[in-house]
Amino acid sequence: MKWLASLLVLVLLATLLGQSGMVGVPQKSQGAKSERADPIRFVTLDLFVDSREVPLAAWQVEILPKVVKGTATLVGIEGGDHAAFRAPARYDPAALAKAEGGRVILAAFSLATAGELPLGRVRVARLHLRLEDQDGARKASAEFEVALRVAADVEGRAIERAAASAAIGDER
Amino acid sequence: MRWPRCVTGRNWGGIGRSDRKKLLVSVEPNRGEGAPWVMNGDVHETKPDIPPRLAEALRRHERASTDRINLAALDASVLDGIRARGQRRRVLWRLSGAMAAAAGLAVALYVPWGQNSAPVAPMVVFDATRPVTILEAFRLARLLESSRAVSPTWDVSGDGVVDDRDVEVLGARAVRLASLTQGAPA
Repeated sequence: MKWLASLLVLVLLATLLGQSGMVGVPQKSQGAKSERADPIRFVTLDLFVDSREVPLAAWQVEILPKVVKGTATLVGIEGGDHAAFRAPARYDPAALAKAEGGRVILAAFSLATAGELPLGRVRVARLHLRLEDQDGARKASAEFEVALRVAADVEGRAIERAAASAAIGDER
Repeated sequence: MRWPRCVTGRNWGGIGRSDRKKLLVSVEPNRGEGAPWVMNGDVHETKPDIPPRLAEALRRHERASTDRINLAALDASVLDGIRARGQRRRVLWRLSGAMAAAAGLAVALYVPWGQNSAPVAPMVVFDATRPVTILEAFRLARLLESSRAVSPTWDVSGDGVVDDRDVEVLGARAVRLASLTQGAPA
């Protein structure tokens, strides 16, 4: 019986851990955290903006490193899911060169009509990060703070209740 | 020959008072036997003794007077008609002129004269004192897409022209790592 109870506890623990990995990173809270034995690995960070019921025409997000173990480097930026933001967002190319934990400002706008703009929570960008252990002593990990700087409707008015979040995507 | 009966005239319209005094005798066929004769206001029971030449002169005078009366009446009638027609025309011309003036005034007031008469929105000016965000690029892109006039303050590239290049410059400034710091207001 003891081994059966232990097995059930392990299964329950694994289930809880799996669910926590799918939750988006709240704005200005803990970001993505990733740990692995390999010295170098790549992860994706999906960036979301939730404009509620207002069509999102322009957004700007600043992603800040919070806690970094080892080295985290931003190596690429993809566009979002929605057609209005499918092109890669604007960013400073210096963010790719600097190994400062992936601090970057992302922004994009669309001149589409309100009916062609996304509503609610939409993935607006995907970041590719390279994580490298420091001297092999510690496993590289990164946490990010996501700060929404601009969320505007088609008239350029701020969307008051908008929010931004991030979530770890693929890892390899 | 039957002497014409003399009657005092009441339907002398158009003849002056002096003429009427002279022509108190009108010549017309006798209305019946036994009726009194009137000549120069005097009633005669018997046929007055009028010389034939006088009678003939009176007849001629009567005809001439009648013709003159008719001509004068006709002239007056024609003149009245012309005056009335002219008055109607004048009224019509005045009405037409008033209507044309009213129509012209309405056109001048309500028909827009190109872009100048349309309500002009205030020109959007680029505020260089504030930190640049993607909103500035977005606003300029919208301005360029519309037909509105664009302020030269948007020429952030400094090439003398406000165009898509300025949108790109603003977008680049918005995401520049030095442009925003941690905790900076939106």
